[in-house]
Amino acid sequence: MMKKQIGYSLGASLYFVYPFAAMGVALISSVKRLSAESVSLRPISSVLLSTTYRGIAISATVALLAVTFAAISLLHLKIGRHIPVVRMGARAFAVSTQFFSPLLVAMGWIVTVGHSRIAFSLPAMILGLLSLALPPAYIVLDLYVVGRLTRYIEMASVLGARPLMRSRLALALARPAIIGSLLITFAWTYCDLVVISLVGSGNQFYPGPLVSYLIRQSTIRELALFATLPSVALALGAAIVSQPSGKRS
Amino acid sequence: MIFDFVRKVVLLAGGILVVLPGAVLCCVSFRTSWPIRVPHDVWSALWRSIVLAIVVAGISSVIGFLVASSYVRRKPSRAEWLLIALALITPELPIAVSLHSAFAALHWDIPDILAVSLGQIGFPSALTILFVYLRLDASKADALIGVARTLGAKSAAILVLLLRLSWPAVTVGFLNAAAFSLQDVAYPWFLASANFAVLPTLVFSRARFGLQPWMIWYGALAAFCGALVAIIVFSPEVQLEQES
Repeated sequence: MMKKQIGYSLGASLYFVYPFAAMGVALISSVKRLSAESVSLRPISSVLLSTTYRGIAISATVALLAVTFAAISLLHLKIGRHIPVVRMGARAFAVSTQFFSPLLVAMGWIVTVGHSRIAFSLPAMILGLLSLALPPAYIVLDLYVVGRLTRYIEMASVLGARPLMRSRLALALARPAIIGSLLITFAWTYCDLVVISLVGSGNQFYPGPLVSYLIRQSTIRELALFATLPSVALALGAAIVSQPSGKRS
Repeated sequence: MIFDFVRKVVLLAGGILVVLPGAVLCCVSFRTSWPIRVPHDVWSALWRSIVLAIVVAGISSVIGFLVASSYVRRKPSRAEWLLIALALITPELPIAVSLHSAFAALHWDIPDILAVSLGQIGFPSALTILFVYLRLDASKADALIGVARTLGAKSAAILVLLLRLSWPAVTVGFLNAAAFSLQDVAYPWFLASANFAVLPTLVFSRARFGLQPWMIWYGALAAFCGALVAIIVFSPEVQLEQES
């Protein structure tokens, strides 16, 4: 019976490996093809590089803003003596907005700013990406800081710590969660296709639209994978940080 | 005092930022004049989307339930949790591009619906595993399994027992998977051929030329469905794991 159960679990785990196995196959075949066919990479490599820098700058800005917003909101709900219903309501709100897809967010922002001056520009794009990044940032922080953090903060307030001191304590305790949340929001923003394509200005390339363009150009399709790899590395980092050992620290 | 005020303002601004797109779409949808003119190809795309959503939701619910029930009998290791976390965290774009490139490299010419389903199943089934596992864990399912075995119950009977215990979580997983599939752009965009247009890709490709009333109604309905799924997630039937 034990062997059967281990078999079930192994089968289940293998199921989750297939996207990463596909990633490995695609990477190997891409490297082989690029080296064998000596594709001239010089024109596209500069575009790829500048797009990567632009993507990193935008994603880092959005991730920092989203995690700051989420952390301050959570601090307000945890440090302030709010009744559990309010905290639960905030979590329900964050989870419910998690069901808003990038397409929905992009359409909402098109309607919102469609007739204003900031339409289809960098600020509109950042606002759209923030709408998308805030709920996961809040949920990740909420999942990790709930319980233990509340206990420590209550203990600190009994010992007479002031709000600023309690905030510092909360930040120190929630560091792994903040790093994980930053990595996740960065990875998701870096690989966004819909909001950037629909709400962005369209004058400059960002990773998502560039990948979409590269896939359509079958001669340089292989490069599309390399444009998205930083996000996979960050997702892996976030998954490791969010492991139980990370939580304990 | 100032610190408290800043925190309140940030909380309010964050809430507004998040809820604004969905709320605006819902408000604008009521201002559209009836009858709405819907292009002919939208109906076929809608039908394809519904079929795809049912396939994805069905497969991911079955996988989620079976995996979670095996995890209840034998607690998952850290590596297994890491895999589930990766399935939840990894963005859609690298997975879609990888699957696209891998299919091309291996010369696999698989049907569009199967290719898109393969991409879309990962995230919802990981979420279903979490929902079902938490539910079964809160119901003390491992103890019940022990009792059932002592009384001589067979594996099929135990599986039925677990299904009866976890049906609200399985339902939530099914609804979540359907909602995800009905709004997902990345997988159909990269993995399906041009003939297999689903509603989200149709909206995505045409929205840049201006939002038409039928697109706004699609967005408003999607926002409504998202809110509905969230209400079900937070209903007392499903919230057993929170209480534990």
